[in-house]
Amino acid sequence: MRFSRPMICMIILSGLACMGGGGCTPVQPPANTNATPAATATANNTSAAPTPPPGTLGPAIPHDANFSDNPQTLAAIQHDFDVFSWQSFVALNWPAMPDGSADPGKIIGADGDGAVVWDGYKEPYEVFLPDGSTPTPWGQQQLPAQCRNLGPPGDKVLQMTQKVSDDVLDASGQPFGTGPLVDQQNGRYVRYEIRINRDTYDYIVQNTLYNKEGQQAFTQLIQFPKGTNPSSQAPDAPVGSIVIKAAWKVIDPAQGDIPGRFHKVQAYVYTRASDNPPTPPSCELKTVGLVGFHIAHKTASAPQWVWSTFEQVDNVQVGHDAPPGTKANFFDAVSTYPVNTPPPRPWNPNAVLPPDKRSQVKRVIPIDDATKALNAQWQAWLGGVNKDSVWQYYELVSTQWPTQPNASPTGPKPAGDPAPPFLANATLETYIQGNTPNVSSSCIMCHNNATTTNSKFSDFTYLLERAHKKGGGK
Amino acid sequence: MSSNQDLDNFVGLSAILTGFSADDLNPQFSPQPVAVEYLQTLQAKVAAPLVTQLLTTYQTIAAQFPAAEQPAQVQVQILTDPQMGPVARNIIRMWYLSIWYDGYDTGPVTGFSPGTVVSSNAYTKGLAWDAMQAHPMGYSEMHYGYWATPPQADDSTDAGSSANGNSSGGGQA
Amino acid sequence: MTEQTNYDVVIVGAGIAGGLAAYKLAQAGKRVLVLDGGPGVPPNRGAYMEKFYLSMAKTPESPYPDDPNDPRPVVLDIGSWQARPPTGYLVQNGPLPFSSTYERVGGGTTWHWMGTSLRHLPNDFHIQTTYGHGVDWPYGYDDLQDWYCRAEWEIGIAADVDHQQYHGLKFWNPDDPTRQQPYSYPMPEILQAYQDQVIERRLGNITLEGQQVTVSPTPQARNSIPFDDRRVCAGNTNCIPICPIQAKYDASIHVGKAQNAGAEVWFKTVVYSLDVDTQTGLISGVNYKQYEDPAGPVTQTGTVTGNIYIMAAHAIETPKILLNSATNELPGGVANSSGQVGQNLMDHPTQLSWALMPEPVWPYRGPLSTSGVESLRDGDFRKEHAPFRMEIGNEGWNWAMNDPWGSVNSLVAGGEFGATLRSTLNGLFIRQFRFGSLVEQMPLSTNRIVPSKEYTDNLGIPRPEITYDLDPYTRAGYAAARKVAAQLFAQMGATDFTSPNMSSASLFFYEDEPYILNGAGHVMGTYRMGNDRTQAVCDANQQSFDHANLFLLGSGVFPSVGTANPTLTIAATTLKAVDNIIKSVLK
Repeated sequence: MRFSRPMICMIILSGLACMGGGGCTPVQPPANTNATPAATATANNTSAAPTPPPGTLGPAIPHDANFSDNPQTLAAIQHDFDVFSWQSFVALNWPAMPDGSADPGKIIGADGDGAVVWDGYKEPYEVFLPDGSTPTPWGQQQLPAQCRNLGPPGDKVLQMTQKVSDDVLDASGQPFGTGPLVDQQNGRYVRYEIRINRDTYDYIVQNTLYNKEGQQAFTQLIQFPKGTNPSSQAPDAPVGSIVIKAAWKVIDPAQGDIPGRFHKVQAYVYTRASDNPPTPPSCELKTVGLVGFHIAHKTASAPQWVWSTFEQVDNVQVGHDAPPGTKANFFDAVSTYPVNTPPPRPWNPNAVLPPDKRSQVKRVIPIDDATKALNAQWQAWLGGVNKDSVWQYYELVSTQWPTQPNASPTGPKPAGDPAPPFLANATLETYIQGNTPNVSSSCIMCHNNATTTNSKFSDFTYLLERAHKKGGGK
Repeated sequence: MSSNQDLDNFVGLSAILTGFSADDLNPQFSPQPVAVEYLQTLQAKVAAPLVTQLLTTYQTIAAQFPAAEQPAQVQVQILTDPQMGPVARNIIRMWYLSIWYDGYDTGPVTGFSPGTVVSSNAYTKGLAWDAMQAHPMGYSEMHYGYWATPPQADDSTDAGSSANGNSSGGGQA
Repeated sequence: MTEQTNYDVVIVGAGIAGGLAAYKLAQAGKRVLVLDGGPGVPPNRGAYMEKFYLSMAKTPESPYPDDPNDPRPVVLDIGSWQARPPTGYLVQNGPLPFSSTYERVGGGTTWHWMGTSLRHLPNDFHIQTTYGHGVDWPYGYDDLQDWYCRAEWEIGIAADVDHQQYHGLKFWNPDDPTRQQPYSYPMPEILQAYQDQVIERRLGNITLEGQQVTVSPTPQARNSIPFDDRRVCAGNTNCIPICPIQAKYDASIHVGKAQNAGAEVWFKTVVYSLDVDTQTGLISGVNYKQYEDPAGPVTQTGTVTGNIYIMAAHAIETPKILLNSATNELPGGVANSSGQVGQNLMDHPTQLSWALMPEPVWPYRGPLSTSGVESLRDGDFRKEHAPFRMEIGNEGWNWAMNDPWGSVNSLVAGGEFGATLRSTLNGLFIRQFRFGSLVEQMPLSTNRIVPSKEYTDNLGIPRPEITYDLDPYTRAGYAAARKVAAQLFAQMGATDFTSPNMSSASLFFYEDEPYILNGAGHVMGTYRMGNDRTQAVCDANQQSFDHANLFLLGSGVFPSVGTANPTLTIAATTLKAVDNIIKSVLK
């Protein structure tokens, strides 16, 4: 066992044990703290398939980061959280058994693209019901009315490994009306979905936080469960709350999409009724490919949650090992449409935009070199499992974590000074990238403003504001 | 002097000048250490020999006097010095208001004097706002309704306030 | 060139009036074009916030672009208002400087409004009849009540009706013709600041000018619960100059909704005059200049046409454009047969009084203001002097004394440092407090804005030239506000630190006592509505008496201004006027 960082932090901050303790004095890290083996620094499938250390690619979702014994510096802890992100990504996208749990007999990507673990997580529309009633039990799904008569989508499967999905993509805009994202191949809006894990679901249901009356009655501080890595003392330590937000683009090989570079599902593309712009409710089945993936995970070392964000490698520029002619998903060098600017209004979710109005996205804060090196290593390992694995075409943008995790939620600086201070996914926070405090995308800073329907701090998730009144109504 | 020593001396001197602890001024693992920005600003705006004189004077004070006597020594040796004094007072202003004021060495400085806000990051960390137990106008991390009750001390940052002038924060690889 | 256009409505100005009008008209299926001189609404507020953070003076205008092609007044101009050539955008003749400012960007001045959303009082609509001062409105409170409700739901106002029923204010469900059903604001009221509670406790039972003095929670256009896809207020204490998280409403919201409903908006399109068809007397076109680079040359001039024209460029630019449209046939300008265009410029002159409370009140926290003393907004004293509302500021001496910058600098200059400096500042800041009393100003024909004959802007368009003063009745109200503030400080055991800066460019006297004029940011009265076409520019429908297809929106139509911050009334009058256009004019 090694010390976890929060224990060390508490000692430092309380000023109790540091007087003589050599381990508390910050020391410069060795020069190679973040260096990766040269052989893995360039990921590609033509070199000999690299093999990760045994157990690295596994189905177990880490309950918290594991902190190395290296001297603890900002960069070293960042590295530990980035490894946690990759382990989480692999475990969440591990092949699932019919009951939704990870299949220990399989390896991620070995048998092609199929159902994955987080597919079994709940979507908010199933939890925050229009009449405020008790959500459907874990493991059961109730589709929105518009999607129910579409029937089993088996006919539309393009490849035999493709999953028949129950994903309902019910959002087409980015946070706070900042605008939709339009892909370069099909001119359609990127669609979004949110999923919560069992610990999150149970906390909401057990505390009746799924309706307004329950939120009103809940007078304690809302605190979702934290993940703690199992140990001999606590073999059943909880995984903690996990919230996933995924961005999907329509995949159509006829329009130039390369399906083998995306995790794909057949999904219900659900458009809610709206009066601005006037839009009737609709639902259609589409083959969609994963382009953006947030994992928010509340852990013992991060009461402000750990925020991992991944993207498909072709989002803002064509990624590694792309066949000739591959085009970026959200950038076209010949387009004159202004960069990082939403499409012109009206923002109709069913619009198909002409090429000169499609999104031009640039990453404002480049991916850190250490994270790039780590990405190359994990991509090579995933490609080593199966040279056609879709999972090798994803990259970690970064992991945001609190450098002052013990900050009180009711104190003056509850956000805990996140590192890195700004973090955006090009598909999920396209239009709020940047470096301006309190405005530019920072997972923790923004979610620090999240509340219930009655303005109580909701522990870094905006989901609770979706609750309705018992019997219906907002 | 290595740059780490400069930073340590700058933070140690700043702690005495501002009344905030070195840990408050330069917390461990800070992703955007404002102490580094302020030291760079000082080095860009003030002639190198004067900066060196200021930091070595402090270093000597720190080495020769117990912590309780250091503020008085800083006052006598630095704040009353005709060269170092105006610089030290501008360092106080910089920590409290995130501004480097021009003309600090030639005349009086007021709240309307010209100068430069060091950065948006620095603005969000001005000590004046901590001194009033509030938050920078335009940058609050607190939650809806906090204003209806008196402020709470932040235990996580205040408890470690025992002066530790030699803590080397930042610590980026 | 004249575009071949077939717009039902052409709107000049993309602020709250133009934005709301465009939204409602587009939703009703009308073809709408909005022209605005400023840059469009940015994809996010990062650039504005960054400019705010890096500004030495955090003025209301500090976050917004200083574009030469899109100039606007800024408060930093006021200190040198007499300079020639003018150092700022406005050409000020005095004898007092007009001290309120506005923005020319998509979303308009609501970017830096406080969010205070009080209704006018019933007596505010007929002050001439009741008190023998000012000018009556062409209708009463009951005629506007329903539109106040609808405006409150469009904008998103947080308040509880139970706390707003003073001075005869009544509330009813706007969809109930019997006026019996109760009404609710869309959001519960914003929690009052700790300081408001201390003030209320310390004031106890006090009666002034025959009124029981009470502290009332203020209706505010900021989210107390999640509303309209925006977050709840996090108390950034920065409503002015900019809410970092858009918990406070600004009109970029309705500009966007208008575009989603199908309205076209052309930004960087500066309107400088209107054309009139001499045969019909109807407006026949809007003349504009376009630029691409905010400091660069004109890239296009043109005229755009529609069936209906709506001016919504606020109370200085709108009369400037109307007067700048003078021709041989209409030498007084467009819509100006009454001669009233540009006259009666008003503000809510704001008397600042500041003090140290005898106990900590913890200012600089929460929205900039959460409560006010509304007791002296109405009463028989209005026969003698102007009424006022007392805004309770949550920003200590920030406005009054430029704190924390002022006090930090004076203490450091005085030799303080270290722990003493920190504790001295703490003891000072946590007890700071101020009243800002917004005084009703009377309309004066001599307070006016005209297009300057001497000075033009970067595009060659005449700049606004302003003549401005305070009448004795308004000055008496200002003096009364100062006196009441001192009385309330004494009642609370607070130490009054109010002292007029005798070298200020905004100094004025009343009965030999010195006062400093402050602007409230409320620009009003310059194209007033009324029933008499010889005394007003437009009728109760805000339709020009002279040109049947011209409508005027905004606080310029207010015949008198009461003591309520004008934005909510701008929104209510706009919704009322646009409803008439949809139902009766465009049909």
